Amino acid sequence: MSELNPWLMLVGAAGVTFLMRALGVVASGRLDVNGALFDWIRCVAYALLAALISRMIFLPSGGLAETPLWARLVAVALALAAFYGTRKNLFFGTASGFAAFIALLYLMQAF
Amino acid sequence: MFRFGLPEFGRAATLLSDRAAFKLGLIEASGLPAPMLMISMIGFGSLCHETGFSLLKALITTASVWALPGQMAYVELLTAGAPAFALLFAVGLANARFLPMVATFLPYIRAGVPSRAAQFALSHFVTANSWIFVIRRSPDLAPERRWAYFMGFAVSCLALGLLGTALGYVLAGVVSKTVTQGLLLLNPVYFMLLFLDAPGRSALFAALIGAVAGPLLASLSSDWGLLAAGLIAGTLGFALNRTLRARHV
Repeated sequence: MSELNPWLMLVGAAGVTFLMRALGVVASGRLDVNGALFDWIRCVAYALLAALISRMIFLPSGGLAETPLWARLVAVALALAAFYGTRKNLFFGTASGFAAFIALLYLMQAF
Repeated sequence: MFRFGLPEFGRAATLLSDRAAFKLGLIEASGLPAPMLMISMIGFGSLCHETGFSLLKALITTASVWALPGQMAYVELLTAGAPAFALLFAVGLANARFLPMVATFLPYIRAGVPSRAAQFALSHFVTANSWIFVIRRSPDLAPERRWAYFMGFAVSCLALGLLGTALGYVLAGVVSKTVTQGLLLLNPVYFMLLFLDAPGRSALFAALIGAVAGPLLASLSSDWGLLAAGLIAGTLGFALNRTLRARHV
């Protein structure tokens, strides 16, 4: 396998990413905010982001892949409980999930 | 009450100047969204350190790509020695979400940005955070001022994103493995909670179906899975909402 030039590839990576955003600018020109097409595109955007987030939890890569799925799910469940228990406080929800996950991982090491 | 980092403002904010709107965006991003971004960029910084990138290259990657999944794909595939086309294709697929995101974002801020060139330039700063928060804040701001709010929000995110990249690079190997794993989970948990408040029933349906379809289709095809899940779940959520509405549910 030939060595790629990292800087050239960075220009390419930044370029394709900007292309996606630029195509969004082009597509936005004729969109009616109250139209059905706008709603569909918004649904696709939400679904894409939700799919990405869900994959990070269920099928993570890197360091998270070494943690057990049940520990991640318990942390997510506690985050949800804290979020709704505090009238949708984003900070408490996220912090509770983090704290629960760390605590579980340390407990597993202790036993 | 601290909710989404946004205090209730009501209509008072419609009177803001550009400068005040910029400052408001800066302050509101600095509450929770930008620090969350900083934490997720720590993971990217340490990945760069592990794969032998220089700090400067790590920072330039963050600023120029400005989309975490695409940045990760770039570094991982470059290190793995993937062919050029495969690398660019994977980065493009990982960042395809920006097309529908920018398309549905721009109408909110366009009134203050008449120049097409400026619209393209500003689109670089659209991320999941700013997409959600700026749209959510829009009803409180005069249409001509929203771009200034967005810029303030983006400047805070970019500054903390670069700081996070540098911190992760410098601290690689210093933070315990367990804490690092905890930090990696923070990002998806934060966005999951943020999305549960999706405006409108169709978007909520789409997000819930997408959350189920995402891992399923990603396990079938790591390249196309996410894009397919987004298109299928988005269309199903949209159609489900229409069907229910036609039956007056």
